[in-house]
Formats: sequence, C-alpha cells, structure tokens
Amino acid sequence: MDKENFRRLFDKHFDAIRRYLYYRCTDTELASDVAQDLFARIWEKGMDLDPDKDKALLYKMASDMIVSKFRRRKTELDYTNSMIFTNNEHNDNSLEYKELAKKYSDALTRMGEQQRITFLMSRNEELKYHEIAERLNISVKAVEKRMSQALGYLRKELI
Amino acid sequence: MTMKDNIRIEPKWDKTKEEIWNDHFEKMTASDPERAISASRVAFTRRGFYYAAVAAVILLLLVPLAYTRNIVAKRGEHVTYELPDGSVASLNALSEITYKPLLWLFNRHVKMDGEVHFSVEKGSKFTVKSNNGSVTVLGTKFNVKSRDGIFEVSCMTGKVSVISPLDNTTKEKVIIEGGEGVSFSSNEKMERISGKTNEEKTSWMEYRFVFTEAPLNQVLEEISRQYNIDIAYNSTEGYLYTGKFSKDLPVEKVLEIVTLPFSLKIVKGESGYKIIK
Repeated sequence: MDKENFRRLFDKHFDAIRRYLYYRCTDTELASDVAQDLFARIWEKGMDLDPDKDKALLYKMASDMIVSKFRRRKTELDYTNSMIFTNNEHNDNSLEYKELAKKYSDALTRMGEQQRITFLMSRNEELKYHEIAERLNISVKAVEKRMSQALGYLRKELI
Repeated sequence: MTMKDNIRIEPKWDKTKEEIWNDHFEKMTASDPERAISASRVAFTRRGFYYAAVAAVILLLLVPLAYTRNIVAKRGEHVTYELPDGSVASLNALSEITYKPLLWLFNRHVKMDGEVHFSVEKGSKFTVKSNNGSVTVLGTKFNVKSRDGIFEVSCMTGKVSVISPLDNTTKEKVIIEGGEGVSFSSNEKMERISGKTNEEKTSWMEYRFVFTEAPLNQVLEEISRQYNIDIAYNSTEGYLYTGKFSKDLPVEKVLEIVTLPFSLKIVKGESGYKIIK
C-alpha cells in the first residue's frame, strides 16, 4: 500500500475506529493510543487494506489490540466525561443533568459489552444497522437483537 | 426517556485526527519508503508463491496427459511389448506405437504406425489409432497394418470395430469378426476381406511371409524392412506375387524366389540390391 492509499484509509476510518475503541474502554487516551498503534502497524507491515471492503478486518484488529491492552490496564468504565447535553434548555452543569449523566453512564457500563457498543454506534454515530453489521462482521438480525436488548435494559434502568 | 435525544457521548480527544496524522504518520509514511517497498515486495512474493503453487499443482495434474511412451521396431527387427494391463503388442519391422502409461488405467489408447499385432486383455474399450484409420475393441486378437496410406485390419478372435480415416468427412465404420479382415486406402472405399486366411496376416510374427496376389513393390518393401537392406527397383507395375518365404533364408535366396516368376535379375550393389529386367 502506498502513502496515498494509506492516507485514504486513515482519513476514512481513524475517527470511527477511535470512537469504537472509546466505547469499549471509556478512556480517550487509551483509545487514541490503540488506534494510532493499529494504523502504524498496518503501515509497517505493508498490509494492503481496501478502505471500503476491509472494514470488518479493521474493527477486528482494533478489537484484538484493545483487548490485549485492556487486560493490563484495569480501568473502570465511566462515560460521564464525554457526555454532551444537546438540549440547551438547561445548564450543562446543573445538578439534575449531572445526576442524569451519572445514571446513564452507570447503566451503560452495566450493560453487556456487545449491546453497549452496538447501541453507541447506532445512537452516537447514527450508523444504520447494516453499517454496524458490516463493521462488526455480524448479521443485521444480530444488530437488531442487540439494539432491542440494549433499549430494553436502559428502559428498565432509567425509568 | 428524552435523555437519549439530549445526551450524546462525544469523547474529548487530546488530539484531532489531523494532528495525529501530522505528528506521527506524516513522518512515518514519508521517511520510511524502503520498508514500505520491501513490505509490498513480501506481499508480492507471497502472492507469487501462491500462483507458483497453483501452477505446480496444475502441472502435476497435466503430467499424465503429457507423459507418453514410445516403442519402436527398427528396420530388420521385431519387437514384442507388453502394455500395462498385460495386453501384448507385437511390432513388425519399421513400426511404432505410442501410449500414455499414466492414463492407461482409464484410457486404453494406442497410437500406431506400421504393422502391429495386438492381443488385448478383456477390459474397457481398447482403441488403436493411426493416420489411416482407427480400431476399437473390447478384448480380442487382431492385426493392424497402416503403411503408405493403406489401412488393413484382420481380426483373429472376437470382434473389432474399424473406423476409416479420421480426417475423412465421410466416416465409415465396419464391424468385423474373427477370421475376417478389412482393408482400405485413403482414397478408396472400405473393402471387406472375408475368408482370406488370417495366417497370411500374422505369419510375420513367426518370420514367415505369405503373399497372395500382392503387388511386387509391396513384397519388395516388406523384404527391405525385414532384412534392413535397400532394394532399388523400377517398373514392377502390374507384377502380382503369390507365394511365401521365411526369414530363415538369406536375403539373396528370398529375392531369387520372389523375382524368379517374373524373370527379373538381381544385382548386388554397395548398399543393397537392385532389381532389373
């Protein structure tokens, strides 16, 4: 793969991969490091990846790398640092919202990992189900199932 | 449940994608082209190895198709050859057969030229092909002569199916049984020879040569093949020879026997014999 193609791959997927890694570890630093390592390794090994066809492979490699890093570093999942309140009726720092953010984050961390990642990919990145399926290398049916499990869980926890 | 419309998770990155590219990858991709090239070369050779392996497998599969064995009887000699299934081919002087040993199990197919007697073991279809025609049998004894555009098949036992020249648009197929024979030349129709003594057709195997109203030039050609000598002749047209001789006799004697009825003279030259009036 030449520089031009590598650049294309990087531009297209770096952010999405980094966010995906963040969903798994809730650590921006770790997610950035792993994403960076992943692309560095792709370049060094001269892997010839197609930006459109090899998405699933990219996510799989990212997943494997974060798992081996994660094992060493015990981090508690906490999403509250990244919460953005898009509804500006209230002050972001209001106690009410902080409480809500904490509750939401806790619910997310207690949720199964697969449901959480699928849910976050769908809600935050507004990816279509088939796009998620393609990235995680699972069927659309499986995405639907994980989504309904995630929503069911949140409903139970937050209401 | 309004929260999911109000709350988004947006990680706060220390560096943007562009910053990371500029800090790490810009340098990496620019300053290390050697590595990238060698890496792509590795990928290329790996792919090359893959293609080589595929090619090797295909070649291995093709080897039986290409591997042939050729058995030749030179002038003045007879060769008896046993084919892989026990069938026996006896080659008269100046004859040859070609077959594919590795495909023999599936395909009993022999290409021949000259005169060959086959004694075929029972089994799958046995095909003999020559430039002048082909013969198909199941298991039998038969003699095939394919010389100078003339194709002659005589069947000793069993049944054989004879097909006229392959390049001919009007293919002819004749089935003959034990004791029968068939003969044709490239421009003639098939002629069935029944009742003709098959002894005449296979006597060559015992080095005896029997001719019934055979053109003299054919007889002389046969002698030339059997004794590996050159015989020059002219104007033998119209002479038909009937008689027999054995290879026990020296060549001068044989020529004497053959030429006597036509009152021809034999002259011994440096490299053979000359027949003159």
